[in-house]
Amino acid sequence: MTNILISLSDGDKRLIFALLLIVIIVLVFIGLLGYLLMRIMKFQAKKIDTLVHDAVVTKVVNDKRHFIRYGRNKNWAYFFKQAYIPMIIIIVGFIVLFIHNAIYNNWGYNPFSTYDGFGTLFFTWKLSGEYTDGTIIKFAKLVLDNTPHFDAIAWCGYIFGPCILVGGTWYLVAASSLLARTVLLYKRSKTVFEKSLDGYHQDEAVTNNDNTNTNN
Amino acid sequence: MVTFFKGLLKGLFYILFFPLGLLGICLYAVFGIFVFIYRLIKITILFFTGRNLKTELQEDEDVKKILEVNKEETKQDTVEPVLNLYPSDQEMYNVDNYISPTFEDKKDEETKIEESDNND
Repeated sequence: MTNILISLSDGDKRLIFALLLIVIIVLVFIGLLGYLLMRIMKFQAKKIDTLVHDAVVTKVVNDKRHFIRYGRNKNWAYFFKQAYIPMIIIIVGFIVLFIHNAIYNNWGYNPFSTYDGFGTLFFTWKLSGEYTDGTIIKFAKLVLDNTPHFDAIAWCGYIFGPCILVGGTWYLVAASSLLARTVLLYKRSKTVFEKSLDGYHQDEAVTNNDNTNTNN
Repeated sequence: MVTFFKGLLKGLFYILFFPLGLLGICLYAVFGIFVFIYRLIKITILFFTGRNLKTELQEDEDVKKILEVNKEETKQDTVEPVLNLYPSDQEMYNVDNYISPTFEDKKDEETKIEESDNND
């Protein structure tokens, strides 16, 4: 270990430090995203209470299995309500792609290509085959492959790309909401019909009943 | 120290939760496609058989009936003031021009009543 550290050049040490910093920042960022995801899913899950509340309060649903079956039906119905717009957007994207491929008779077309697809609107880099200097750590050098530009030939990519990105993200939000509600539904099924005997003593209850009977 | 480790564990949990949560969501998104198709078929059938989509489940219909009955009961329980559309002459007076009777007025009225009683 000492030998390796001794043989590190100043550039390598700086690189290791920078890499460690990047790793820490990435971990913090992932942690924050995880926290955010959990908060969002907790918020989304609350909807299941609204969906099944009336049926539970009016005692139309009065056992665990019935509660789960009813809750699942309501949950799926609500998911359909949430997901039909993103689904339509995604389907529109695929219809456009199908029409494009049929017109140009090009069934291997990549709508995200940087040559004639959605990728033309973004900066992209590729490996140059050369490496940076360094005794131990060497990085592959990148060269700019594409600068953002508009190309009429990529019209299909410009419609398909946003459709898939917007529709896909929207659909994923609906799916996360479905998952969150399902988890809470199963949690509630355990607590709503729970019968607790905490602090209950049968003998005391019997004497209490006797007393009330004699008083009457 | 304990709070530091608690925070650290929480952070680790969130770091692990994010990729696992995303994986769960992606799997559920695939499952969601089947749910979507199932619902689409069900709704289409319900629509063409003339059923109400809002109360497609039997439970929903039962809940609706119970809630309506409860609403009716609460309506009947609350006593509403009866509005008299045809008030008698005695009841008709203008509140704006109302002057409270003085002691002498009351006395006059009492003597009038006594006189009428005596005559009877």
